[in-house]
Amino acid sequence: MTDLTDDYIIEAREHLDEMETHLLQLEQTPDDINILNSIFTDVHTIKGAAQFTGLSQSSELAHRVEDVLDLLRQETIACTAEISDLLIGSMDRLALLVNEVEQSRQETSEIDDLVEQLNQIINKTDADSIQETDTNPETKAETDAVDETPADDAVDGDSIQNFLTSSKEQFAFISTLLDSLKADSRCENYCPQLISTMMIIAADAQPLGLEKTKDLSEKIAALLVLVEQKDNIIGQPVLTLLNDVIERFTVLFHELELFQLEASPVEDLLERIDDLVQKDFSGTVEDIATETDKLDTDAVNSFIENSRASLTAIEADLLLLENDTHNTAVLTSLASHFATIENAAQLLDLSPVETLCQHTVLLLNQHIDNEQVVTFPLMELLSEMEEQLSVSLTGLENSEALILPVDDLLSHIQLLQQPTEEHEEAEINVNIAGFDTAMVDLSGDTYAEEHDRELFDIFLQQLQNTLQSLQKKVIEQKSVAEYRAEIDTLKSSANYMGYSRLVEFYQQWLDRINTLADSETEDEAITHELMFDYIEALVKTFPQLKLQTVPEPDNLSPSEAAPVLATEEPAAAFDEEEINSLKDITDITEITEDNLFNQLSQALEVSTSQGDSDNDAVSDEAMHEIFDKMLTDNENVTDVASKPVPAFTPVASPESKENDYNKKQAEPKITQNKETKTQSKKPLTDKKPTAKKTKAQQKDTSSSKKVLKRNVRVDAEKIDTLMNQVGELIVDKGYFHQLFNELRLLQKELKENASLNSRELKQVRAFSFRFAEAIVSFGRTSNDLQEGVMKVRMLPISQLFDRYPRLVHDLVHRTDKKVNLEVRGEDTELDKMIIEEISDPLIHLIRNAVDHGIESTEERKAAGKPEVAKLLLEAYNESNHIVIEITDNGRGIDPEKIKAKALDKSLYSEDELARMSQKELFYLIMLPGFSTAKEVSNTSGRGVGMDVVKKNIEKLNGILEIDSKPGTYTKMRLKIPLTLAIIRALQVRVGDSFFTIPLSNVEETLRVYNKETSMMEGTKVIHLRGKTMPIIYLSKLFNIHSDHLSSEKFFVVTVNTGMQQIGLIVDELLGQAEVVIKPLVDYLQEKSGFSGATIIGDGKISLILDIYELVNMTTSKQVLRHQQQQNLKRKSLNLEENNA
Amino acid sequence: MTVDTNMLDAQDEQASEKDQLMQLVGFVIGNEIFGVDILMVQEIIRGAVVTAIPNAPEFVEGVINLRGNIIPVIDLRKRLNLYVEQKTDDKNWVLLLNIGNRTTGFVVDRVTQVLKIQHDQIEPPPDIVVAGLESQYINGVCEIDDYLLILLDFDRILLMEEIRKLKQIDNMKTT
Repeated sequence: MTDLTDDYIIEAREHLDEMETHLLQLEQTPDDINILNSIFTDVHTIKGAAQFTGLSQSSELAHRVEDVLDLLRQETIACTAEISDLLIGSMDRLALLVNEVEQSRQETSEIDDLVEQLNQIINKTDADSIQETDTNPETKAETDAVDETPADDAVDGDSIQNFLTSSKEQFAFISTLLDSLKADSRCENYCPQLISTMMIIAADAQPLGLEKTKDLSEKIAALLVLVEQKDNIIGQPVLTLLNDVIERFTVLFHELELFQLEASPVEDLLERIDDLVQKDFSGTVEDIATETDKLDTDAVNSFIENSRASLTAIEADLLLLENDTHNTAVLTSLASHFATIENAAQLLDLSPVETLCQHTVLLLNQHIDNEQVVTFPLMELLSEMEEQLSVSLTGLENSEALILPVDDLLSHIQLLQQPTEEHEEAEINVNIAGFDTAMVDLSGDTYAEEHDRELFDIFLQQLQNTLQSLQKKVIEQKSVAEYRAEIDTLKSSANYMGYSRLVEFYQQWLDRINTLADSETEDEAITHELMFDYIEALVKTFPQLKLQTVPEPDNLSPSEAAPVLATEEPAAAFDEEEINSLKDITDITEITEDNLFNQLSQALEVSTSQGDSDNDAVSDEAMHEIFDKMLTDNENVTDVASKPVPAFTPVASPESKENDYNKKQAEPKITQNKETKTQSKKPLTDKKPTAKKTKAQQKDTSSSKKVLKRNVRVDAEKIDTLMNQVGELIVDKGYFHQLFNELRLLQKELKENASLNSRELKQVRAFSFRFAEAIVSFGRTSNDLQEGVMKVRMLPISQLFDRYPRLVHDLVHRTDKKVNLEVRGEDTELDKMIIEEISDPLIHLIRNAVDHGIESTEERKAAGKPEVAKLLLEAYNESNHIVIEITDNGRGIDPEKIKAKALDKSLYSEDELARMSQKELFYLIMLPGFSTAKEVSNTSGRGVGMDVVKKNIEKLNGILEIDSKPGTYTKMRLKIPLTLAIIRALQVRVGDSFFTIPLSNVEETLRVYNKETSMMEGTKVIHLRGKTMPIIYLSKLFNIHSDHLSSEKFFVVTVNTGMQQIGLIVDELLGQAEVVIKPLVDYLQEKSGFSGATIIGDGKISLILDIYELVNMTTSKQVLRHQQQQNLKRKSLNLEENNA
Repeated sequence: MTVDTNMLDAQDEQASEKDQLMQLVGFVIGNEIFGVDILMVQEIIRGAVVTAIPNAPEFVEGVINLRGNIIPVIDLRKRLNLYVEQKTDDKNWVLLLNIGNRTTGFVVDRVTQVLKIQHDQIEPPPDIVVAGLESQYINGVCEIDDYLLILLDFDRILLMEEIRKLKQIDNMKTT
């Protein structure tokens, strides 16, 4: 249960995220049906999952949202700002509920307010349409009645209630239409809508068993189609009839509501419709019968739309089914959706779709009735169906001609259907030949290396060998006893592996052979066929098997000359008599009227008839032709619709048969063929974003097992631990380097001091050389390892960026600003921890940009800028750093304002401010409490933000830069190291202590002579390239005894804080290294000037300098000193005065 | 010098039988003997290289590298403001204690032995200053044979606010 809830949380989150994106898109383009559909899918999935997990609140809310979305989709209501706000609100509530479920496994938040608002929208629409018509007071009464009826009756009552609720909406709509029809009898404006509504009702009614409603609505729809075909004018008789029908519907619904059954007769109306059809449209009927191609565009479009909706629902159901293969409820809903499409297709005379759906419904019903577990092939098939239908819908939309490879799918359906049908028959019929009895169905089972791989390989090997010898024996027409021995071997090996189904299968096989032997019919053909059937079933079950085609003996009859693993179909084509004996098998061939297949059979016939005369070349050629044709055909088909995917091969798709049949020639082509398919699929997916999404989900459904194997959800903590270990390794690496250096010194010393002879010396040298090699190799491996682990932690920044469209939306909301957010480089990857850390600062910067940077529409217009402001969010890599830029083309930062504010707050004197560069001025906004906003708004203006942002970025060893041009733009530039745990750094020594300076801060290192320095206000400075830079003794700052205090020249490390450059005087530069940052205890880290510590090679600890803090410390010290000096001066002045 | 953890387990079992019994690790600073609950002691090391941290509070001896982890080390003598003459031993003793899920090292003069005492032997700290030590850092005292064992309250010793305040005072002094 817990797992289920967890799954729900993950799934719901994903869908909510998606929904958010779509909702925001919807705001931009409120009429986009594709977006609506995507949202609908998301909500539907969430609803389904919530229901399944038993989360009543979420599912209820989702259901209401669905209702509203449905209205939007039908364009009954327009997508106003109010509605989209409500939808976003509902989405937030759903997210909240998900969070609650995650934390406490309970839904605590109330949803009543939202449900009420949503209901208001739904009801308002109803009321509106009723007001318009005013002819159907019953409907209104009904609306109220429905609303009052508690929805928690029996299941049946429930679904009827749902049906009524939705139908009532439809009727309100119809009434409006009829009303307008009276005034305007040209039906092209209304007919398509009427037809589609009727079809929806019919489709809804069917699964509920409401025959009368269904019949009536179907008839009406048919009539309207005729009307459309004929003259597009709804005459008085039709209008009267329609009115009557509507009234009857109202009565029927009333009855349904009260008694849950349809009491009133509808036959009279049906007859009237028929009469009308006979009388007025007899000609048209024929027209339609003959010219199915000329379907009315509108009708087709509405069909497409409706089918799309059904397909979306199917897709969602399939996903559910994937998780729970026993769920009959889902199956039922699947069946009903397919039935919907079937009905709609029937009305439009789209026979391929109709047959396909019909068969699917049959198959599903069979499963439901037998309470069968949904097998993998079935899942595959259903997904395939769904995809095929959606693709053919697209085709229909574009080309107006239905292209659907129905036959393939049909044959698959048949194949799936067959075993069960046969099973039933087998129970009744005792077959003499024991031939028609179904084999033990192996199709659902997959055998993989779930056990010991080695064992499985042996098993397969044995299976293959035995089958091969069995094939040989069958061809050589050995005795039954010999078959039995072979099968016994197989059975025992299956038994050993613990495959009980397989054992059963073998047992059945044995039994049948026995029956055959006992019956003494000695019908060679039947025994033969039986053997082949079973062998083939095995081959299908174990696609891993690679059976060689046994060469044909010349003296065999044509039927026996069929290559050993040829399947029933080609075999059936050879011999008319055999077709009769193989009744159930030919069933397939009859339905599988695939053109290609016929051609194939023909070619086979040709080749086998010529087979005696050794004319293999001819048959080869024929095969080539066929495959070539298949290739091109497939390409044609895939242009509009993708052919069944190779996933079907285990279920005996034509390819697999041919593959077996003519393996050598076929194989390269088939692969090529498959490649073409996948290739030609790509452009298709690119063209249609919605289709792409469907496909992606499809992929999930069909290959989820594989995906599971490839993706592992790992606790973040484990990765962190791993990272720490890698850190240790890096430290060790440093240690090895140091050891090597010591070794070299030792070697040198040995050479100079110890009296070693050349041989001994050589040995030492050789050893140190090998040691160096070992270190290099060790270093390489550890670097790779480090990189690998780092990559695991890397996540695309889109995780972060995806949240911001919503943020901007909320910020702009209810303001007179228009902002277009543009995101670039969201694929850029960076450390997971950093992503978490920069989230808040980024939010703040974006807020600032929208709130302060971007002007109102009026202001922009006045400034001659485009009304819609642009906010650009961009991420890219720059060496070892990631740069994130937030640029707005708003009013920019006014340096004068900053100056005024700084003066106002008496942070700096006018002199100081005048001396500051523009850049330095910009940095002032990052001071605590600094805000230039005139008013404090609810989003910003309190002057806390930038200070915090700066601190957060600095904590990550990052740099924040500000660039702006007043009136034009503001650019915030964040430069952050890719990872936190390991940084490149400069190691330095001061006295006996070691310090580490992050390379990101280091500008350059200098060697400075004391005479080059001068003193300014008590601080040592140097002039560097025309600039004055303060330099400080680290030893003085840290109170460490240093040996170089008095020396003439010293090392200076120039560091940059983004704002300021200072030089640090150190005793020695030790070089660059990769260091692992280890945190210090908080009371040591706080305001100490250290951001952490690291362990250098020999286990010593080196403290990592926090440059920002350091600079702060020095400046504050300076300020203190300054004040002290001033105080002193003042005191001495006072003294003097006193003295005076 | 690591304390055997099996011993701790055994101690647990014993405690359930007669939970009055308590095991303490005794250590010496100057002339005084202190005790700390053995369950808090993670390990005891000798002669660790302590890296000093500039600008840290005075009582912070520095940090040590304990198998890749950086552990702060506090000079207990300085922390408790005990006036004792400078120790002579060149090799320091560091008592690593687990306080609030964090390992902290404490430099002491010497670790003596594991002591077993009855719970009711422990008396509340006297109001007056014991051994020049403010009573706020003392959990209790216990008379063993002829000397007084002081049980220190290490949670209090590591109280963050206090450390922070002390640090500020330190900083003020240096500037």
